[in-house]
Amino acid sequence: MTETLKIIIPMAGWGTRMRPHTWNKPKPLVGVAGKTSFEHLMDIFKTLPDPANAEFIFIVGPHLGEDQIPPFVAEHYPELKAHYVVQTEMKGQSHAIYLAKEFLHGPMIMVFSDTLVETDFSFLKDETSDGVAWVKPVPDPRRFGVAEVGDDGWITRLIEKPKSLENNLAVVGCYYFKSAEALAAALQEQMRRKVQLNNEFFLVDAINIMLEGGAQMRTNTVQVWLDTGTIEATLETNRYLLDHGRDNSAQAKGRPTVEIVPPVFIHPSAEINQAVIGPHVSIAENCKISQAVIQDSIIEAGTQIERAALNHSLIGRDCQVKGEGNGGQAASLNIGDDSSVIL
Amino acid sequence: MTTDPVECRSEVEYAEKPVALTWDGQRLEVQAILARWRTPQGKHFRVSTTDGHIFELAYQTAVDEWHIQAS
Repeated sequence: MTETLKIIIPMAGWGTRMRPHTWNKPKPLVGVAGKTSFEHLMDIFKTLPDPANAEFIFIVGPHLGEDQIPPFVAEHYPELKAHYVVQTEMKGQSHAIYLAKEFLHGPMIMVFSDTLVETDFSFLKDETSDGVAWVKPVPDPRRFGVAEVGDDGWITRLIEKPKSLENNLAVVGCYYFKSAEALAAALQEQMRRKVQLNNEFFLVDAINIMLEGGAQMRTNTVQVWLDTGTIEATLETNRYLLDHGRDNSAQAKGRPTVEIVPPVFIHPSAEINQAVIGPHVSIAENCKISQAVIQDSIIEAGTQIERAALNHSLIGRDCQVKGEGNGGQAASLNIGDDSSVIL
Repeated sequence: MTTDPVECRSEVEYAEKPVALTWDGQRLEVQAILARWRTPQGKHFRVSTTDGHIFELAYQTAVDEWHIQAS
């Protein structure tokens, strides 16, 4: 693969399922297990066959996305070859990708921003098929999109919410296309045919047009498929990542008067006193926590928590949570940046 | 690929107030929320629509899915 690999990442959605956190920041900048979900997503590209020969195209939303994603990338990934396309009308996945048509040349990867998979892209250097769809076998596929695979091993079509359990390979939202031009042609054809649902153009329909035209696509199976699209999913992803490598409880245990119940991620700059933290708690930089019991929660940067018990909570940046410390039932909070709560 | 059968206002959290639903391929606007309650699985609403029908809407938090039942 000598042509530049294009990596298209649509991230323009409003993120309503992550409210209130998405009122003042785009969804990929919500924290999970010690860093943003954007950074977790970028980690999967470390296994690209030739990382220096890749260009990223981020399809961002107006205002929050276009204002915050470019400076975040510039600060955290200064060497990255990055382009930005603003999607002002939410007409679906295919529409989003087609907006980046000027970049659709050569091989490409498309991954949705709230999809985190454990995968190794190094096989792409020898890939000869027209495309690859990353899939995960699921016990009940009826609420997913699935890949139907023929006897010869090639994908025959993608099916949304199948009625039967027969095809259980759920597509996880990560695709490789040998020819971005072929995808662009299918996107154009999809829009010409007006193949849409509730005024949105979905990518699976464009891929089905490619398959109808004879494209040979295969599946690549992943065992780990995480999601950061909802509060519940983000807390679940936090638990998974802490259970699988993001735990820093050995380092965090250096604090006197603090009982750590692994796994946790506690940023070294967080000040914690007289507290029980964990399991499954992520605490970002510059937090101040005292007289608190916290489990199964994400606490973003700069937040202060005092005399409170929290469980199953997602607390934004620079919040203040104060309780009476009377040993009552743990609160489950979902509060956005700069909020103040007295329990 | 998802397309929500229920549109809702989401301010301090997702699915605070249903405003429309899709039933038999038709978009129906919610006229009034007649009842709302929570279960361990998620949020439930009983709503009337502008065409006079009554529906029960259930949002299952863990699987991020809406279910609609006509009353």
